[in-house]
Amino acid sequence: MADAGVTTAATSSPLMRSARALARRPEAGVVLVILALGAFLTVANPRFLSLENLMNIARNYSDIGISAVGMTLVLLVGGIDLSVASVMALGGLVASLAMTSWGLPIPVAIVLGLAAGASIGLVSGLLVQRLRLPPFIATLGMLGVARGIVVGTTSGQGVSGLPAEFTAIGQGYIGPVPIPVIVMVVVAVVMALFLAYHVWGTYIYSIGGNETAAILTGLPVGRVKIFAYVTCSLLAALAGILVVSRLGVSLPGQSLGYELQVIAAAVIGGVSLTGGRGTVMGAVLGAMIIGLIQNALVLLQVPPYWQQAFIGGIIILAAIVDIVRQRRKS
Amino acid sequence: MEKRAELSSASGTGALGTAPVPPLLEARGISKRFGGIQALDAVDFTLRAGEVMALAGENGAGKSTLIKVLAGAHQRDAGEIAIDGRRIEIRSPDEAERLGISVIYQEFNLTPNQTVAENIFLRDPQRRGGLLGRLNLIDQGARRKAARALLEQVGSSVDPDEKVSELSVAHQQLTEIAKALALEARILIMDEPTSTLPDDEVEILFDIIKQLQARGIAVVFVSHRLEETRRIADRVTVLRDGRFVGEHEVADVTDQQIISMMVGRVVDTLFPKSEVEPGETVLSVRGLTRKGALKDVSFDVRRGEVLGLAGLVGAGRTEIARCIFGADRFDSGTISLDGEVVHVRSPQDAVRLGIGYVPEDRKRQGLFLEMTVRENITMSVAHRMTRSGFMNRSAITDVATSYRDRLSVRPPLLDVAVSRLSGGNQQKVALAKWLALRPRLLILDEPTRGIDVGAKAEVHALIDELAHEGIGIILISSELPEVLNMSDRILVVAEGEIVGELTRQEATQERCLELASIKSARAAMASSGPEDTAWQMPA
Repeated sequence: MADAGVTTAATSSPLMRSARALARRPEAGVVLVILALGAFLTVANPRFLSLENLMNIARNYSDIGISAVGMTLVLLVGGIDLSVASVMALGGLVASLAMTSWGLPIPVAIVLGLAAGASIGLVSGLLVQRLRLPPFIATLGMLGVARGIVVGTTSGQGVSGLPAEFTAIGQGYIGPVPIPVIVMVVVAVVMALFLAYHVWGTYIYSIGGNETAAILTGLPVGRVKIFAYVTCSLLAALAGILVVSRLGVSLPGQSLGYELQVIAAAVIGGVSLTGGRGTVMGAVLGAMIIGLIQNALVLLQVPPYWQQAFIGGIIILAAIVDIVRQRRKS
Repeated sequence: MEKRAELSSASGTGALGTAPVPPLLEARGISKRFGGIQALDAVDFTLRAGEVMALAGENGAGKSTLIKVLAGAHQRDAGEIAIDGRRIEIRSPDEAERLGISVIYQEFNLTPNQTVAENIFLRDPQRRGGLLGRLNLIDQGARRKAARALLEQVGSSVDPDEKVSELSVAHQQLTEIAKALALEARILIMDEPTSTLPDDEVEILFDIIKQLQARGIAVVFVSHRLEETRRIADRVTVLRDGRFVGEHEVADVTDQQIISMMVGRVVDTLFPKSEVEPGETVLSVRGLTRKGALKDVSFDVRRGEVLGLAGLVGAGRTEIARCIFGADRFDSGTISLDGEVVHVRSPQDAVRLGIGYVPEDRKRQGLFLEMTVRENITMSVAHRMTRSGFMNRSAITDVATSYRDRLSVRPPLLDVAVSRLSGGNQQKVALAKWLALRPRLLILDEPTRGIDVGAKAEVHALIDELAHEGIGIILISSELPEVLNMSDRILVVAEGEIVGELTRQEATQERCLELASIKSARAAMASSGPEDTAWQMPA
């Protein structure tokens, strides 16, 4: 079998070879899954393929996509961040309170929301890097702390009465494209370029690939890891603020349990849970797959109560694919 | 199984054994391909009963693949294998063992949490007779007795009830041999059996191999150390790049000839050390102390000087390196570079100060295996070639190219993952990473461990070249000939202290060993028993 593969590769045209190279890119499988799901959904319901419906799905999952970009950084350095969903809620709440109770201008409120989120990441990063807590434990704790702050501050009440200029962001469109989708694409492109061209992008992959070697090469391992956690929380807060803006209200239970979907998005997109491998684009595509799957489940009239079980199963499936791929390499 | 072998032999004997007495094992035209790599290309291999056959070749020459084909762990793509002139198939390790082929890999195949007896009789657990045996009940007493008998045959006094994880490396190896005897092996393949053994244990192993030989068992012996090959083997088969290069009586060939066959060219000298006039002192270490590891270590290194650190494994040589490099903290002492006291709190500080450190374990500590040659070579200097953090790709490529070429990394590609390179070329990349930094002090910890002869000679030539360029070099190696031949001056380290200093002229293996072991012997008497420490002898 190996022989056959070699012969075809040797005799194929340059065109075939570049197609093969494209197919070998980590995102290729994800794109195939999206196309397959899309084909299925089109057959099941012709309305699926309308621009409006597609944009709706993209908007509804843009928060998962934006957070998955941040999660990718943390996974790449060999960590994990379980606190993203709580940070989404915290970011949204702080921005909402700043606008309503504190009467601050919208841009300032957004910056405060982002800062609140980032500070959670800073604490997680310091716990992991300085105190050597396992990322799983540190961020599980911060999951509780951030959600607790949200519930405690509001006594479980929602915050509404947000200014129309603010809700226009989450509900608005530029041309046919919802603004949250544009934000997601910009975040993903900027981060992809950062990882490819900035020296810290290289460091992020090095640390996840071999942390011992990174330390013994004199790389700023601590600062890079903390940067990954801060960025992850910052983007989660951004996603949370966009959700609040779209819904027009900040609820204490906002995005509850979404860490599952965010991690699933990254892992489905080919980001390795063991660090060092994966791309931002893969993670965003992974978020879109989750959107399509949930859309498909609705079309198949699967009760929404069962969706979580599906997403959990898909994480495990994606992780198995990752392990198999790694084993085949070695 | 037995039947099938006989049937196929009817058609197979004609093609194979034409000799009057067929050899114990005969393999002809064995080929094996992994993806794009031809690991074995029509290799011939014969083995006679009661002989020791050395299998020689550089890393990647195909030794392991050949062993695994014979062990049934890999399936060959082409070729024929016969035992006693009868053509056979080896489709699984299980089948190999039933055919009398046992393999002892470097990483032993023992279950560490079971007892020695259980391991020896892993396949045939010595059932009780009668009804109880049918129920798969095991006769513990008989098994213990049988295990003890086999252990005695290999000269081991280990208690059969001892857990394998409690045994020393040498005794685990003897357990493996006893296990092979329990399987009534006729062919015993040993992959680098001496690489983890102390010298005295090597002697014991060789005695046992000779006894096995006398019983008609054929032994295939793989080792990087030529002097061992010469001592134990009757014949040697040399492989290079997956091809069969030659099969010789060991007595008929010189070491130089074997090396040339392995490398494919004439290697003039393994240790090309030339005289360098040392310059100013670049590194000064005074009173370096780290509790439980180092005690009052003081020395200087001058520009252009190669300072060798000799000592037993665990003597504290790596600890000295790690303290200078900022990888470990120390309790007291000072480090000065070019006469100025410096505070190295982290490897980051060390790199900034121009200290390079090639660690002993390149895969775990030195390289980013999944990343490219380009990224690995420029990892320590990439941040210098940036504008507000964004990398200047062409500058980085230039640097990577020049060091790749200077160290002749093969294949000469930049975008290939380092994991795809051979051990020797991986080590060159690990070295290139530090040369790119243009260090004033370079610490080399076991720079040639596990790499083949050709690459070794290249690394040695590079060390000499770097000294000429005025870099101060600290060379740590467990291979005494390497330290003796490549250093200008040698410090002997034992128990975390410097116990002696020898010039190049004074230094001999005996002097070093003597200095290193006086201190160790004293410590050994104080503690419960000797450590598993070893001098590695010439390769």
